[in-house]
Amino acid sequence: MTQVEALIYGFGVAFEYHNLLLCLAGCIIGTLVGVLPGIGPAGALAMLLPVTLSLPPVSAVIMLAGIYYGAMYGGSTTAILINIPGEAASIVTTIDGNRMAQQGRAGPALAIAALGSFVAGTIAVLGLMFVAPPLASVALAFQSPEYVALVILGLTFLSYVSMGSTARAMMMAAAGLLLGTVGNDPVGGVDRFTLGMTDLGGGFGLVPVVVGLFGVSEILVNLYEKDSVRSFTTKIGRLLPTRDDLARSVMPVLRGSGIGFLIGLLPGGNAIIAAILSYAIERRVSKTPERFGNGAIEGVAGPESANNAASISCFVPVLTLGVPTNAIMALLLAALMIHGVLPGPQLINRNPELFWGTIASMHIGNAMLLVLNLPLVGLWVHLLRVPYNYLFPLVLLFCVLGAYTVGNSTFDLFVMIGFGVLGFVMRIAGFEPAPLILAYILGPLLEENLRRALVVSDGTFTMFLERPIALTLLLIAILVPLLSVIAPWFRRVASVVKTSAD
Amino acid sequence: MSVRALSLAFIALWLMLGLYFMLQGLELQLGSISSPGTGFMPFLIGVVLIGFGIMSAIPLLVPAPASEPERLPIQRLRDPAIVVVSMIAYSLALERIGFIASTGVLIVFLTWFVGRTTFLRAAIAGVLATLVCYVVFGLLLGVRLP
Repeated sequence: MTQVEALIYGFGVAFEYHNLLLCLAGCIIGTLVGVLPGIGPAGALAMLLPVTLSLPPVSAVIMLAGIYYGAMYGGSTTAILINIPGEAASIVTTIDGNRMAQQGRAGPALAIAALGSFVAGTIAVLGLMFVAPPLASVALAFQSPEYVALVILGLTFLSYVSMGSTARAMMMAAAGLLLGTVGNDPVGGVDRFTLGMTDLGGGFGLVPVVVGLFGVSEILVNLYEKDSVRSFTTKIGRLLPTRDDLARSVMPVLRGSGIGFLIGLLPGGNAIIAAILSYAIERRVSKTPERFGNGAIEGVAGPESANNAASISCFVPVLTLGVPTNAIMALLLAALMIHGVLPGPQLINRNPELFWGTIASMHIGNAMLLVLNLPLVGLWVHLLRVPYNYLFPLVLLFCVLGAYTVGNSTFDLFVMIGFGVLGFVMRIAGFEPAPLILAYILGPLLEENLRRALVVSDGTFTMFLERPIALTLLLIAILVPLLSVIAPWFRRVASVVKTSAD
Repeated sequence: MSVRALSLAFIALWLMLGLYFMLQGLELQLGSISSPGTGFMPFLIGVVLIGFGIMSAIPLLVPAPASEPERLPIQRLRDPAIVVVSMIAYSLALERIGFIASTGVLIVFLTWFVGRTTFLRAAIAGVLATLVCYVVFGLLLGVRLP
């Protein structure tokens, strides 16, 4: 089956009426999650995972995927109108997007964000179509050393690119790995750190952990910071961008799409990093960088395209390797496993309806989101007027439903509360939850493969040196953080040499 | 309490956990490098966690410049604390008194007491939210609710 034939087959799956409805539902929920600050896509996905249990796997993935990329669309609305990122990846959009709104140009900013997201989404889905199948063929040769190297690379990258200190991020990654060892030993099946509780036999449930860290903690932080009083007085005005706006946005959108797509492919890469990188590049290549921060439309077009492209290309590692690169993809992986679908290089051949159906649904979802976010933007704006004191008990209720119904156990509610408090303290103390959650998810994969690799190589580690892919991945994992330490030192030496030469 | 003190306490907590997992790893059997045992990973990760924990703590222990340390306004913890206690009470009550009663009480209480709305508005919001969730999740989507 060629790519085009496969895509046509995928459209056949995606156009089944229930899949079409679920795609629309995912896009609407995603936009809602994106628009409303205080609920992120990770929390929303975790909350809604139990709802998808009664659906066929392909329908479940279509809906969950729609929530994620829908949130990327919706996040810009809040960022532009009230200067608060609706979801984290829109943080960069607040800089110039809100400035444009203050100058009475909220309409063009919203329009460019939506159009850029649409173009980037379409390019990224095309990229996904062409990159995933060959990568899956390469990944068929992956054995334990490659998986170990990939997990290490992912954790190193995520810690390296995290907002705060690298040591703190690495500490949180180690904490996540540690929590991942609770429960049955994946190799020997021996109980570890369960404190005699049968509920802990399988470790802490992924859904209550994610809902706690990303849902409950967000509510606690919002209540603590009292930023619930949001003043929304901005007028959207004329929606259509001018010819000049469009001309200025074309290249940032294309560059943002490329950057976002590549970042999303990397282990540890995510939509936030893609948006930040795109903004930095747009500013660097601009002939008038002083406009950035003062309402430059390129500062909206680039990052919004990048975060959308990344949110789609990050499906590549999870669908082809079975390795999630962020918390949201980990939830998608969990959803696949709950539905009995084994993620990995064989997925495309074993479940073509799931792979190609999801890809086709992304094309459809992108078109739906353009309609939801452009002509219907006013509808979402009304939601921003819902006071937080009515909203937070509802979000909490969804957290409870998500955490409880996945296993029908009150123990999971206590896990959710515990991780909610942990997430709250982490955020107040300046630690990021993302490395912790990714490490927590990848921990069992790392342990299983590391132990297997050591047994096979008789404890010599030679397997890592003899296998080129594993070696390359490990070298990147070591060299990139090392370069960041060495580069400033070199720059300092160079400046000293230059000064003395002068 | 300052943010610095909270960060240090948080790091100390993880250092203790790292140490505990390391010691437990030894007890669970490390195995050998060619045949790692059940305790191998917890031990290894415990060591890594302690290492990065110390690296994270060092900048906080270096004497700070004369500037005033960032304080944590303790009084603002009131609302998050009430939410956490309510959630614990809710978790204990859920299977005893059922979804509708426990959820209704939780939403009304939080909207009224933490959200500081009038009791009547909170009651309307609580009853509506509970019933809509029950109908959508419990009846339409077939999610099992106690």
